[in-house]
Amino acid sequence: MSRELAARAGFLPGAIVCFGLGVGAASAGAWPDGPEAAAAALRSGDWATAEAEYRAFLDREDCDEPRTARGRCAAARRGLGETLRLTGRYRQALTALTEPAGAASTPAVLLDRARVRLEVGEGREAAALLRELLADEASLSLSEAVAAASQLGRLELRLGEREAGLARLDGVIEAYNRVPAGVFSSRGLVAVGRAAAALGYQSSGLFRDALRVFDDAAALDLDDPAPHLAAGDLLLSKFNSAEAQNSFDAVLSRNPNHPAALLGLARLPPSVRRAPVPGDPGGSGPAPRDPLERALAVNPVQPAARSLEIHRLLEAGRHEEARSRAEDAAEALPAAPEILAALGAVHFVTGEPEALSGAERRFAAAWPGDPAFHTGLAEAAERQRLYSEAADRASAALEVSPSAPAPARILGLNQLRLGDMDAGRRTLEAAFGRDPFDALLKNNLDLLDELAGFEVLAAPSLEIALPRDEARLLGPYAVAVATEALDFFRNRYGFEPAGTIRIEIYDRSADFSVRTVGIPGIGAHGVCFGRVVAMESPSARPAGSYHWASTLWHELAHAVHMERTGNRVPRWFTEGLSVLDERRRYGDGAPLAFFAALRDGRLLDLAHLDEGFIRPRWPGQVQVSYFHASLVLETLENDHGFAAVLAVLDGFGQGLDFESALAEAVDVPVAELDSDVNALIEERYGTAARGLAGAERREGAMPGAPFVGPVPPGAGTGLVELLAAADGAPNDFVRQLRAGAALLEAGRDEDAMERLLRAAGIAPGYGGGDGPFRLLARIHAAAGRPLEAEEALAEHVARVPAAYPEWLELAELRRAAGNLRGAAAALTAANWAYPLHAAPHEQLADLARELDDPKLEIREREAVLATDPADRADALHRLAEAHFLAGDRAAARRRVLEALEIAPTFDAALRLLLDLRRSG
Amino acid sequence: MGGGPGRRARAGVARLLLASALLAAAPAARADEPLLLIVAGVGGSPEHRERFAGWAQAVCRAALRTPRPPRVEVLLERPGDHDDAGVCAPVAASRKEHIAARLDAGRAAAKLLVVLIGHGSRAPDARFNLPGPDLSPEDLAGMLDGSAGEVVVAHLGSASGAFVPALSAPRRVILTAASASEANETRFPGHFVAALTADGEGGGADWDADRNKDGLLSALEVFDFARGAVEREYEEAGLLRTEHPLLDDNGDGEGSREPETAPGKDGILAARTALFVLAAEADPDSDLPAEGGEELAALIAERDELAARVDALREARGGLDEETYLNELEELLLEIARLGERIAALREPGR
Repeated sequence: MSRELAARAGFLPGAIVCFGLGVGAASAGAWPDGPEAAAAALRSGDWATAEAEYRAFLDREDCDEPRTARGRCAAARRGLGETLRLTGRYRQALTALTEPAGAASTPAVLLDRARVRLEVGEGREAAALLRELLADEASLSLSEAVAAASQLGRLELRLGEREAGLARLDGVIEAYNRVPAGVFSSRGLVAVGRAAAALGYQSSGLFRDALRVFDDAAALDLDDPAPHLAAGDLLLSKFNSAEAQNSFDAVLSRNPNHPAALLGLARLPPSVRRAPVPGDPGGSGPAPRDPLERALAVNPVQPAARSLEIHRLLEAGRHEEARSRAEDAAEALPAAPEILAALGAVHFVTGEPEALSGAERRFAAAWPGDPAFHTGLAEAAERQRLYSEAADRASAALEVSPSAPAPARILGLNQLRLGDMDAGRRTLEAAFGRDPFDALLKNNLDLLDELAGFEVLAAPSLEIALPRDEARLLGPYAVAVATEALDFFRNRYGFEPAGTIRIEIYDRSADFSVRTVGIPGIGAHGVCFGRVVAMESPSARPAGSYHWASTLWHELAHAVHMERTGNRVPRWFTEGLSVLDERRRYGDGAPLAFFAALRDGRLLDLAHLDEGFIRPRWPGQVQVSYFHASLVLETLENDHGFAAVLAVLDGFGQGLDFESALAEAVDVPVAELDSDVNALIEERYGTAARGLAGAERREGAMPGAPFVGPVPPGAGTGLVELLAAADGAPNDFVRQLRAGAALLEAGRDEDAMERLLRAAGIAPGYGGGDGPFRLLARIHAAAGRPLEAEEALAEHVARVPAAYPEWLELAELRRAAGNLRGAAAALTAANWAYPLHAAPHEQLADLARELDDPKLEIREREAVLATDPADRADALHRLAEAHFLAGDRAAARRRVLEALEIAPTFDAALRLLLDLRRSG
Repeated sequence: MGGGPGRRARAGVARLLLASALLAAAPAARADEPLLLIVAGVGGSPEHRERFAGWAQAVCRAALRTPRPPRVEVLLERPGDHDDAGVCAPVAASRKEHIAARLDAGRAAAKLLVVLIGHGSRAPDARFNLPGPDLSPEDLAGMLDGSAGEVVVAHLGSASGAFVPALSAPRRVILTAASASEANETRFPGHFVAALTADGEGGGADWDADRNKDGLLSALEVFDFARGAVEREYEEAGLLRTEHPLLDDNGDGEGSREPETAPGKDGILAARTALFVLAAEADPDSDLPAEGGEELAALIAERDELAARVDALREARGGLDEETYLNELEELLLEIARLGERIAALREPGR
C-alpha cells in the first residue's frame, strides 16, 4: 500500500479506524473448512457431497447444543452455508448460519450471514448485522474486523451514506498500513483489497495496490477462490480481459462448478474468451457450453447471472423471454438489486414507462447511493443502439454516484457516438483522471488524439474525417461514394438526413476497433452509430481483401434505417437490408460458409436470426447471418414490394417487434415469411449446398465449425487425389473447383475448363474469391480468346466485388478491345476495392483524356499526385494539362508552376506555361 | 543534374566538370574513359542467378542506349550461359581476381561506377558472395585505392551497409540496399535497375527517376527513386521492412537513410554526380553546332542562370506572400521557356 495513502488515511476520524490490532487470529474469517471430506467436496464443487457431509457432521457433533456451537461446529456451519449460498438456496443458507439459541455468536458466521443477506438484496439487514459485529470489536480478529468494515463501508456507499462509507473504507486501509501484512488471513486481505478497489476512484493508485493485495491473499490460501474472484472482477472492470480470465480460470481449475467464476467468464467479451473453458468438455464435442448456462445450472437464482441472461435476451430482441425470466427472478429474490435493475431494463426496452418508474422508485428507496439501476439501463440502451438514451441514463447514474466509473465511460462514449466530440472528450478525460487503469478509456482518449490530426472534408449532408495523408487520395472517392449512396437512399427510402452524417475512416484497424467497441480486435470493417459512421480505410487491409466502398454504402444504409426507426430497428433487419442494398450495388455472391451452413441445417430461423450476429456459436456464423438476413429482406421486397419493407421499418419506429410490425405491414405471420425465405434459398442454393460432400474437417477446428475450408496439408492435395475426390462427389462444387485448379496448375487447361464449368453450373451464386470464373478467364486468355476471358472476368467480379486484380485484368482486356468506357468502369470499380495504387489512377486518367472527360481526368490526376509518385513533376504537369483542357486556367497555372518549381527546365511543362500565357 | 531541388548547382562549374567527365565523347581506348563495371555475384539458385544476370544486362543495355555511354563491362557467375548477349555479353566470371583486374585497368577512368548485384553476408564477416573467394569490404576498398576519378559504388545485396565504413572516402558515393545488419534478400535492386532502365527508349523527359527533368540521372535521384519504391512495396504488402538503404558521399563512413543536399549531410555529391546522361542536350559542352554555337552556349548559360534564380527564389519563399512568389516564379519560368524555344531552334533549325 502506498505511503501517500497511509498518510491520507491518517487524517480520518480516529473513531472509525480503531480495529482490535492486538488480535492476530489469522484463521478467523477465512475460507470455511470444517470436516475434511466436506471441505474437499466444497472446494471441488461437488455440492451434493459437501452438503451431505456437512449436515452429517453437524448432526453427529450435536452442534445444536450451545456449548458446542463454536469451533469445529461453526466451521461446519459456515461450510454448509457456503455450499447452500453458492447453489442458490439462500434461505436455507441463512438457517444454516443461525447459531443455536443461547450460544455466543461466532463473528465468521455472522459475516457469512451478512454476505448472504447482501446477495439477496437485504442491504439494511446486512448493514445491521455488520454494525452489530463491529460494535463488539474486542471479540474480533483483525481480519474479521477489516472484513466487516470493508463490507459495511461498501454497503454504506450503495445505501447513500457516502461519507460514512468512504471514511470506513479509509479506516480499512489505515488498519492495513499500521500492522504487518502477515497478521491478515486470506479473507482479511481480500477485504482490504476490495476496500482499496472501492476507493480507487478517489485515488487511482489504489487499483494497483488492490491487485497486489489480492495476489498476497491468493498466496496465503491456495484453495480460496475469493482473491481470484475479486481480482477477476476488478480486472474485468478495467477491460483487462486476458488477465481477468486468468483469475477466473484459476478458480475453475480447482472448482469447475464455481458459479461466480463461471459468471466472470460469461462476462468476458466472446471475442477474447479463450476456449475451452476449464471444466468444459471442449475439443471434439459440440460447441462449448456457455459459461453463463453453466453458472445458472449451479445456481439458478444467482442475481448477477440472471441479470446477465436477461440483458442478453433483450439484446437478442427476445423481449418476452427476457420479461418472463425477470419476473421469475423477481419472484425468487424480490429485493435483489441486480434483478430490480434487470426488470427495469426490460420495462425500458419494451417501452413501459410506468412500470419502469415503479422499478426505479423501488430501487432508489432500497439503494439510494447505487448507480447500478441507471447504469444497467444505459447499457441496455447502448445495446439497443439508443445512444441518446444511453447518455441520458449514464448522466442519471452519475447524479447518484458522481465518481462511478462505468456511467462516466458510457456517457463519454455515447457522446462520441452522437457526434458530440468535445463533450465526449471532456467526459472521458475526467473519467480517466479518476481511473487511469481503465484500458477502454485510455484507448478512446488515444483515439481522440489521433482524430485531432485527421482532415475533415465537407459535402452536402456529409462530413468525412480521415487521416491527413489519405485525404487527398481517398477523400474524393469517399465523397463520391457517400454522395451517390445518399442520392440512392433518397429515392429508395424517401430519406433526407435530419443533420450532417459524420463518417470517420481509420487507417489503423486498432483505432477503428477502439472507436467501435473500445477494445481492439472486433474484426468488423464498419459500424454505424446513427449519424456517425466509423469504418476502416482500405489501407488498413491488403488489396483485394476488403471492399471499402460497399462498406461505406452498407453503413450509410444503416444510418437511414436508424433514423427512420429512431434507432429501434433490430440488428438482423438492418444488416439484412444493408447487405441487400450493397449486393445490388456492388456484387451478389454467397460465401462458402453459407452453403455449408445450409447443408448442415445451421441457418437460424427468423425468430433467432439476431443471435447469429450478437452471440455467434460457431466461426463464420456472423458472415452467414449477414447473407441470410439479406435473403429475408430480398424475399420480403420481392413478394410484397419495398413499401412493405418501409412499413416494417415504421413499425419498429413505433416500438413494435418484428412479428407485430410484419403483421401490420403485410398481414403475414413470421413463420410464413420464414418459409418463403427458405423456398428462395432452396431454389437458389439448395442443390449446390446438398452437393457439398461432408467432413473435411480441419485439424484443430473449433467445435461446431463448418466442415469447409482449405484442404489440410498432407490430406490428399495431389492431382490424383483431388480428381478422385471430385469424381466421388460430382455435385460438390468445391471439389470440382479444387480439381479444376489443380488441372490448370498441371497445364491441362481443357480438362480444367470442364471441371470449372461444372463447378459454375452447380453453384452459380458462389461468391468466393477462388470462384471458377477467375480461372476460366485465365484459360481463355491463354488460349487467345480475349472476349471469352473478358466475359468470364465480368462474371467473377459481379460475384466478388473486392477482386482487385481481376478488375484490373478486366480493364486491360476491355482497353485492348477498344472498349474505353468499359475499361474506365472496371478501373473505377478497382478503385472502389482498393484506391491506393497509382497505376490504376494513371490508366483511368489517360482513358478519361481519350474519352474527353476532363472532370474524371482531373480527379484521377489528383489521385496520382496523392500517391506521392516518384516523378512528381510529371504528375503535376499532367494535372495542369487536365485543368487546361477543362478550361480552368488558374488551376492549370498553379499546377504547372508547382511542376516547374521542382524541374525548372522541364520542357513539356515550360511549353504548357507558354501556352497558358499566350492563350490568356 | 539531379538531387534535391533546393541545392542544385545548375550553372556551377563543378557540375559541368563532373558531368562532362562521365559524358565526354572519347575514343574507346582512352584510359580516362568512364567505366561502368557490373558484377552479378553467386545466385545460389537458378532463379536468382538468372535474375541477377538479367538485371546486370538490363543496366548494361540502358547505359549503352544513353547518348553518352560509358564503357561497360559485365561480370556474371556463369558467363558461358550468356555469350549471346551481344554488346552486354559478360567479359569474365564474377570472380574476385577478375574484379580486381578490371578495376585495376580502370584506375585512370575519370568516373568509375561499380554495381554489385547479389547476396551479401552480415558483419563481422561481411562479404559480397562471389564464385570462389568472396569479396570483403576491405578487398574492394583496396581495389579502388588510387582511382583517379570519382567513384560510385552501388552494392545492391543484403547486409551491404557493412561495406560503407571501408569504402567511404572523399569523392566517393556509396549506395547500399540495406544496413549492415539486414541480411534478408533485398528488394532494392529491382527498383534501382528500374530507375536506370525505365522508359529508356522514350527519351529523357519520360524517365520517372529524373526528378528535375534536367536530362541527367544523378546518383541521388536513383537512390531516392529506389528507396521510395522499396518503402511503398513493403507498405502495400503489409510487411515489416527488413531493408533500409543507405547513401554515403561525405566520406564520414556513415551512411544516411534519408540523404539531403544540405551542408555537412550525405547527398550533395550524389546530387551532382550523374550516373546516366538521358538527353544529349543536357551536356552543354557537346553537340554545339559549328554555326551559332557561341550563341547557343550563351543562351544555355543564361537559362541555367535563371534556373539557379528559381532555386534561390524557392529558398526565399517563406518571406514572400503566395501571389508575389507565384508571379515572380512565373516570370522567371517564362523567361526560361522562351530561352528554351530559342535554344531548340538553334539546335534544330527546322523545328
